[in-house]
Amino acid sequence: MSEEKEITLRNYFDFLAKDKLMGSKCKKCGEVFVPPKKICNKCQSTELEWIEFSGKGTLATYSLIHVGARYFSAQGYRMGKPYCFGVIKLEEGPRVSAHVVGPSKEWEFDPANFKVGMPLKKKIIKVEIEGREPSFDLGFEPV
Amino acid sequence: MGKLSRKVAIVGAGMSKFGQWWPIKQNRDLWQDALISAMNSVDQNFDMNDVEELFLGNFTADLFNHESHLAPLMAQIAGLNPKPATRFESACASSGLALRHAVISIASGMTDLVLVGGIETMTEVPTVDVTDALASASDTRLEYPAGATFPGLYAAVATAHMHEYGTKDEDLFNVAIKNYENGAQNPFAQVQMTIEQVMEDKLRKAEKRGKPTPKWKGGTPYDFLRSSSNPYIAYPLRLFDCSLVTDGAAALFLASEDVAKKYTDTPIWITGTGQGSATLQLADRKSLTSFGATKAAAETAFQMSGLGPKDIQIAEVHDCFTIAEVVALEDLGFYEKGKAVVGIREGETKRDGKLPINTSGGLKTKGHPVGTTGAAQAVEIFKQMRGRAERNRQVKFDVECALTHNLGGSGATCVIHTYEK
Ligand SMILES: [Zn+2]
Repeated sequence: MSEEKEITLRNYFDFLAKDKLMGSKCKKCGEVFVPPKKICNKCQSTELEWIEFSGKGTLATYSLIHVGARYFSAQGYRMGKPYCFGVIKLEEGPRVSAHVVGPSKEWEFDPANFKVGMPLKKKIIKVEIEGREPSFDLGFEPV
Repeated sequence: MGKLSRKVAIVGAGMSKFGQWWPIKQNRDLWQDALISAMNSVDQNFDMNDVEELFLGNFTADLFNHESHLAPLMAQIAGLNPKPATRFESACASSGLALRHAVISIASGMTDLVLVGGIETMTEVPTVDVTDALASASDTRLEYPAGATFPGLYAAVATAHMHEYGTKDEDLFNVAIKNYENGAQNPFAQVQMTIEQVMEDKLRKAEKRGKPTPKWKGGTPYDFLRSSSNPYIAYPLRLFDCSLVTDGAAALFLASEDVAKKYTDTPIWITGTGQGSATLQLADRKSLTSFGATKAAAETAFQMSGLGPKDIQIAEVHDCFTIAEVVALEDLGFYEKGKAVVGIREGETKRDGKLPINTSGGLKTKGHPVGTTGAAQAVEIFKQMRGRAERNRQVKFDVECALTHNLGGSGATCVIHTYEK
């Protein structure tokens, strides 16, 4: 199934919308990339194939953003009600950027809930903003 | 490794007053202010007709001002048409990059006298659009849906630095306090107040409006900086950790060794130029507490000039956020990893310290019109090395060697120059 799809950014996001965090793996040296690449930056091979990531990782670093981008203020976040921008180290090695969410929106407001190294798992976030097509963004939540 | 095959000097440098100028002054007005300031700084025989080419740094007049074809327009304002005029873009390192390409042009023998400019007018659009425009210099496809903003990315670097090296809030406050101290001595700075003066000003305004007295009244700058008067913008970074939204322009005249002495007896030689790149997405970098682009640019610039970190006596570093100054001092080799905060705490980077950093006030108080910053850093070095910094800002020793460090976006581009007498 996935093998038929060309390695493109669009297809990476299409997989995300289907709850799959997909990347590519070099057939020659085994290096993995997320989002996927067609060229291996380690050995210059152009033989890469789709792989699915487990979605398990740890919080490498983060910020609780009070003055957010327009896209996030449209989701109800604002000064005093920040959201968590996180960098997550996947168990397969690479890192990704993602919105880190908890059991409630309020959970995100408290720095005490975040710790570098805390285990997280993938949670795809459906974002619905008036006047826009719904989008499916990469998110993570505590295990 | 590259070498400059011909010596290149700055023979004139100036800037507009930085501030929030829109709509009173726009790109072309600020550019004229910078040009006049630079023309007046040339000691003798200045003639605009001698200028052969314009290298202009600008991040995004496209998004800020709906102006995109800026270089020929600014050449027109300077009276340079039909000579070549090119715009350089590398986010906040745009005019550092323009400077580098001007150096390369002269060193190659293509030109003898060129104009380098930096220009940005950010306040024409509302703050939320400024935030979005700046965020467009990050990996927007991957970082934007995750919520990254410009302060947020540097805040993530701060979180990692605090985790790895035990860096504290106060360590960052020290950077801000010093840069306010310096900005207060710079007549071109956007904010010309020390933190103590900022506090007095806020108290006076609160009293005037009949607002309750802030808890930090009678306290230290640290009490103030730890209070709700200094709210989090992107935890762990607060308002006073962030540089300003600024309009401003800067201009420099660069000359080859063959003609430099025609314009001045005290040219400032640019002896090294280096540029580095890093992954656009912060998450993809090997280290989250260091900028690889800085290290690569520094290595090239130092190798070219034959200088090392120990030779540098003053530097303007890219303090778009307080944490960025800390990381720059480490990446440039002035301090070991995790140790810059100690030097800062002990006053080593103050104007009267052993390694004055950001005597101009830095991006923190001089202001950060993003595409102008790299050129404006060189303006400060030009003044300091010629002993002509205004007010009480001139360092007390003779500066033989200096450095500028200009970072683009969240560190994906870095341009470094070294300067000698
Ligand atoms: Zn490979």
